[in-house]
Amino acid sequence: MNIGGEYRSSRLLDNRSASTFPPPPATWNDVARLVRRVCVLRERGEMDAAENLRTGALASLITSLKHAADVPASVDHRIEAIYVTEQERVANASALAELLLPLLTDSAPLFGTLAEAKPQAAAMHSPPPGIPTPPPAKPVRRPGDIADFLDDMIAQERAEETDPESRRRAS
Amino acid sequence: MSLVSQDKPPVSTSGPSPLSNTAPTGARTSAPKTVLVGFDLGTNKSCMLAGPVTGNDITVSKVLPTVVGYVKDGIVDGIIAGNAQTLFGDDAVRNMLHVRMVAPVAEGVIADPTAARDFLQYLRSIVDPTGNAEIRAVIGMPANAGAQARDDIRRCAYGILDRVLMIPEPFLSALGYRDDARVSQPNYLDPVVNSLFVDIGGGTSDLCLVQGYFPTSKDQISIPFAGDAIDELLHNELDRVYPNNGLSRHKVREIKEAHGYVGPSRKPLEVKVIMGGKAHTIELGDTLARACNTLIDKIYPALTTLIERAPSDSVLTLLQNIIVTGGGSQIKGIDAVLQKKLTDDGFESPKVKLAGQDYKRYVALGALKAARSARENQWQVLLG
Repeated sequence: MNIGGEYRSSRLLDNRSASTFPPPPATWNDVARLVRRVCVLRERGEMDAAENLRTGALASLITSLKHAADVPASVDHRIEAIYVTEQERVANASALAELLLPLLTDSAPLFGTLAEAKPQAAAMHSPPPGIPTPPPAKPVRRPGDIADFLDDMIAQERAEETDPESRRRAS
Repeated sequence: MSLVSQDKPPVSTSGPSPLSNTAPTGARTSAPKTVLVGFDLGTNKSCMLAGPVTGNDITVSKVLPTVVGYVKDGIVDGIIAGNAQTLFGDDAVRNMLHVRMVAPVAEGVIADPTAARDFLQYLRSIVDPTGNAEIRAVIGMPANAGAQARDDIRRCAYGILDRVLMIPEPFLSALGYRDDARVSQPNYLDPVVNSLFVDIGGGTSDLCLVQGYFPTSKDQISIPFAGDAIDELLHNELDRVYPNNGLSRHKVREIKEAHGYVGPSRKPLEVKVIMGGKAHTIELGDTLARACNTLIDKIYPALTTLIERAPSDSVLTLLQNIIVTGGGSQIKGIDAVLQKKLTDDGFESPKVKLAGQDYKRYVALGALKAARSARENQWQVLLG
């Protein structure tokens, strides 16, 4: 009974919290983070997980952004631009990892345990056992990431330039 | 017409390349030197900083009036140095009697494409006298400049600059104002992380929230009221009180720059001017206050709008980091008046700061920093 009572109280508390603190509105940073995650999963060959993320959390975010947008079509254009940017970033990062990992495993004593593992491309995408998985990237920018700011700007520009309404307003 | 490509493979993927000494003059080699340029194309004043791709050196630093002077017909030989047909910046101003003055930029965007191209070509000739280098330029744009304004810049830059990036000026101001050496210090209020920039130029006043991500259109407000509009109000008032005074707009601007202020009347404020060849001392206390306080009336609602749009957990720090820059920051009392209005309206301990005497360079400095940070695939290749 007590357990049930606690359960009910905690549900009440949860409901109260939910009504007092509504979920924060979706932001483009959140979208970019999820798109990046989708691209990473695809790069690793985890197509099902990527598809689940794309049709689940990402689709929800996009829907909420479209509700808030003056011109829903501009959201699609901007998301396309974000996909282009993130695919390129993930591909670049993967290529860099392929180049760097053999060098690090051969030369750095810290990675001595990895030296025996053959740095084959497919294996490089997931960390070896015993190495903690790094936390997922946060949407907050490090102060020095000017190039990341520029990615955001370019995505905004592309969305605007493919949006006829925006062009008309500008001229 | 496609003006730009960001996806085209770069000509050189290896970053900076040495200048070939064997290249014939005027001909591009396959490995030209790359020069990065930060441009602040202001309505009245422009600033250009240039340097190599690597390091922090600035090899060219120039602030000049944004004006092109086309020499009038019939000017006798020797009046204009070198019998030049086109003058730029200070040279044009010095010879204003003998040239047709054209302003390439109005309200922060291209107003005269021919003059703008001539002006850009002149600036290029300063950073690259040989004409051999690859010039990559980051160009400041007014906040919320539309696609058309960016297309106009690209058209003007085609054939003069090799690659460009256009970035809103308030964001570049924040980048330029940022003290990179102090970014890691715990007490440093990094303007790129949380600040509100008020950039009062000649043609527009641009306000922008800079909060650790690239500002969206909702984070920026551009108002077509700035230094030039104050000059016009002041000129009209002088014409009303002193008909046929003969004062040029240039002289009126000088008066504003020397004596302009906001806040309560500072009467008496006597200013000596020459009218009809005779010296007159005129009382301008109320006139200057009326003209300059109009700026406060215009920008203050935009300032509070942006503060109210900031996320609630960031707003207290934001209120400590409101920075006024641009030529308008030199109007006496503007920081104190904005701060007092915010305080009177109940905003929590606001602090409004002036960017300082280096305000003319911050946009260009931010542009050069951005140029040095841009990835290869972010540069726009002008296609014509």
